[in-house]
Amino acid sequence: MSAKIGILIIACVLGFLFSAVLFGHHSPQAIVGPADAPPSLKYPFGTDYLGHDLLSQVAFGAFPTLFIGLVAALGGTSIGFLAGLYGGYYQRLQPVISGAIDVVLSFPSIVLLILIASLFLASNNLIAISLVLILWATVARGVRAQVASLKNLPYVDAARTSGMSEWRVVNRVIAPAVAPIAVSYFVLTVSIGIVIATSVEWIGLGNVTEVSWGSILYYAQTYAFIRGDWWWVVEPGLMLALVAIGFALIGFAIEEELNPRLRTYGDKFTSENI
Amino acid sequence: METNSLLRISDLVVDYHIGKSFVRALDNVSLDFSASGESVGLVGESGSGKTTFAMSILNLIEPPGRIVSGKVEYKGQNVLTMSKSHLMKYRWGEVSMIYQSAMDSLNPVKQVSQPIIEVIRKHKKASKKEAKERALQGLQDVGIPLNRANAYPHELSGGMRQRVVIALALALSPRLLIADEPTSALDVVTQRQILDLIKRQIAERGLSLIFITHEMSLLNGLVEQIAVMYRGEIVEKGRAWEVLTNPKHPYTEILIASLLTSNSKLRPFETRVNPPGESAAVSGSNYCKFVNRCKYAFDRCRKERPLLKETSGGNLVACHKYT
Amino acid sequence: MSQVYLGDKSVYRGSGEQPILRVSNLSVSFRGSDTGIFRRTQHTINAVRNVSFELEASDSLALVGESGSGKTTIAKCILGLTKITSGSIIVDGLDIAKIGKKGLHELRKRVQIIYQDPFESLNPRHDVFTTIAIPLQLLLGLRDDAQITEQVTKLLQEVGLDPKRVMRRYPHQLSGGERQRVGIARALAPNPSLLVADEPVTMLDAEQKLNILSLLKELQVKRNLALLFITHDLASARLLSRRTLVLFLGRMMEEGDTELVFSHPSHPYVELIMAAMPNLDKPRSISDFAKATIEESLRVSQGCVYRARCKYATEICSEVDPAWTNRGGTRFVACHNPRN
Repeated sequence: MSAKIGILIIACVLGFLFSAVLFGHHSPQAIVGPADAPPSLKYPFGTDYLGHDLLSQVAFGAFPTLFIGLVAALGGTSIGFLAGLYGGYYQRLQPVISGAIDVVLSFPSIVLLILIASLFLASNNLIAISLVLILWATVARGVRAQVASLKNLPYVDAARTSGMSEWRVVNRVIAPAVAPIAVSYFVLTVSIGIVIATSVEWIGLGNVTEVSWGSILYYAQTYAFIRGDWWWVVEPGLMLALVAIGFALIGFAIEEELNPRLRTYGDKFTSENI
Repeated sequence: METNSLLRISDLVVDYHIGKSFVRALDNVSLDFSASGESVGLVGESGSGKTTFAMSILNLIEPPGRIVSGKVEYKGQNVLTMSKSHLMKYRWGEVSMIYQSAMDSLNPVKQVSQPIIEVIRKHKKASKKEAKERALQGLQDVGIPLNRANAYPHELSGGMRQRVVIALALALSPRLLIADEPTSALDVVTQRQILDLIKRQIAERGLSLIFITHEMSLLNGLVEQIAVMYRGEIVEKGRAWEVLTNPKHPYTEILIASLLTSNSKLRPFETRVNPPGESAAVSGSNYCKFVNRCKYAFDRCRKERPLLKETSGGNLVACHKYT
Repeated sequence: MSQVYLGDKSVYRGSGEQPILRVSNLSVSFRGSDTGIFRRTQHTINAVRNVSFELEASDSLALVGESGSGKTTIAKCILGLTKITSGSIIVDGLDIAKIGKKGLHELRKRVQIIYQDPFESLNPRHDVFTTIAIPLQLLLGLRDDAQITEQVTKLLQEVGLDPKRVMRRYPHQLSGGERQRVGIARALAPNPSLLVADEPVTMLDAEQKLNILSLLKELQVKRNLALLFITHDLASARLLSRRTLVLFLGRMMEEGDTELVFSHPSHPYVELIMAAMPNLDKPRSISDFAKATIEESLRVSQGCVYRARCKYATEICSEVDPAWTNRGGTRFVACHNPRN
């Protein structure tokens, strides 16, 4: 159910963005109209303090943001999956990888990210890479837990007695079994990645010359309130919220789907619901 | 309103929808419990509908399951149409349940006495102290000593955990207990201990009992009546000893013959595989569902659905052999 | 459709050759930790203590015991899935403790296992064909598709399944009994000489139980297999095994000819199991037999491990661990006060 809502939201947003980019009249960088114009038929999203068409800005600005989110999610999930898979399966790797996970997770990672961004030249790639280094740990922890629960199932033992080497077992039996949970993590990290990336740009640590939701908000937060341009803040913010929620819903729905409901009665009678 | 009957299930029909087709899990099942501590054993293989039956009594059927028709009347009130608040009082307060996976469903981060205390406080509006006393007493009644009442589930063996489950089910002193394969995961010794415990408790408390199992031998000495289910129908019902020693329905015969008991006779056995997937019953079937497995089957069995009728000896049997 | 007399013990030839399986003074301990909310205590679990037995080709032995008796651990050790702490296991000439990777490969061809849970012992992502093809490819090295298909077909037929109907099905499309048959076919694929059956019918319905047991018997006869049958149910042991070894908390209690152990148990524990079994006589309560729970038995550190539960316990039982004594013929008991 929630998956459907999530998919709907994402589909709508993407549809909107693509049509705005394809059919939009204005370039996001061009000064096209009067400054501080509220939303109207001519400029559906209004204009900013210099006269840029905000509709074009929001539409084009989606892509850098989405790009960072996707790259961060891909990288983070891939590394996290492999780390959780092998770390969870091989006894000797356990302490190493678990240690690494614990270190990353106990760090105030966002603070670290901000620190890195402020020390070095701001760029999308830098933000993406930093996000990967932070997000992999959560994925790894989740995957590791799944692997631990699967490791001693009878059919895994059966794979061993059927002649599979440990290497084969972990890659051909365990990995496919935990892959679905990695997919759900992927979708969730896209959501997280987009939000964090935008936040970092928002405070000016990203590439403010390139149009992205974060950079729009960076300028908006300085000028919008004095000039009364509420739409300038609301539009990118709302977009961000919609996309983040959309992906999150999909991610949670996948995770829920994967929860095995084997028992007829399940947990129907616990003290919580009697 | 029959004041004599504690629980009356009348013509219950329950379907499960799978994709475009459906499976009739219960096909016109009726059962009657009088008010005075009756006990019935319900026997059948997986797919016979026995668990669906238990769930119907507590109004737990959820999609893709659907109650098509029939009534479940507790003290005259239809459970299937009860209000939510009424249901909350009914479940656990009047009818409660123990089942196989319950011992694995205990909250792992709570001490085993906790859920019992919480349930008592919630339903009986008792004080913390009172509830705790009652909970500890309840645990003692099922054989869990005071010094283990604060243990966590993973610290107890399977048998002990199942005892906790029983204590939880009896916490609000219900009138009827439903036990759905409570001992299937346990070894023979623990199983016997749990069965003895259940027997003692229902005797001491004057409870009625529905004991569901696929192993008929467990019912010996435990229940007064036995009902045998096959693909959603009750095919034989009668006094426990009669059914066990003098089975009338061909299916019951097979079940008895399959029993591995301490006095099993060794006999030749066929290794024919019984085709499964036959569990998909067609609605309103007008033939006997057992016809493909029945060694006595004759013409009438393929054309007419047998109804439960009384036979000599007092058992009710749904089989054309006896009419 | 074949008719098999269960309990046909004429299979055993008593060859006097090297036993297929020789377990000597096997002990297995684990390090477990008890995780409470604030504490984490380490303790050693002695799953198996000094267990010894032998099994010859075409013979059958039942390992009987409740949960915690160590029977599954022993099975896993024989399969090379669990490490031995001390003692030795020799399967068809292979010493488990000394084989390397290559030896493990050879071992897997000689001993196979049938698991208890028909639901969890088949990979839900593999269809029946794949499940049986894997050992054929990995252990027997078969590569030719036609050859593999032929073998799979034969194996499915051998266990009483219709190859055309089930070959492409997935586990969730089969009944418990059918799944177990697939598990048996898989175990037979590499042509083992020793078959370990770990509670193969515990999770099946009454009728499926007997079907599978008689199938196992038939296979044992046909293929001349040595069968190690692990169960908590003495009744099924009686139908399938010539000899029985009863375990309690990892230690041997009684061993002997199944029929005799059944009819005249020596050890109080075996007496208890007999009384606890469901039957069609007047059922007896066993409360006077089973005084203690498993937990209390776990804390016994000196003397007979069964003492806490035993209604015949005397003073010596709490001081001296009873020796494994021959009581005539092939009967052995570890008890200070045997019943007959």
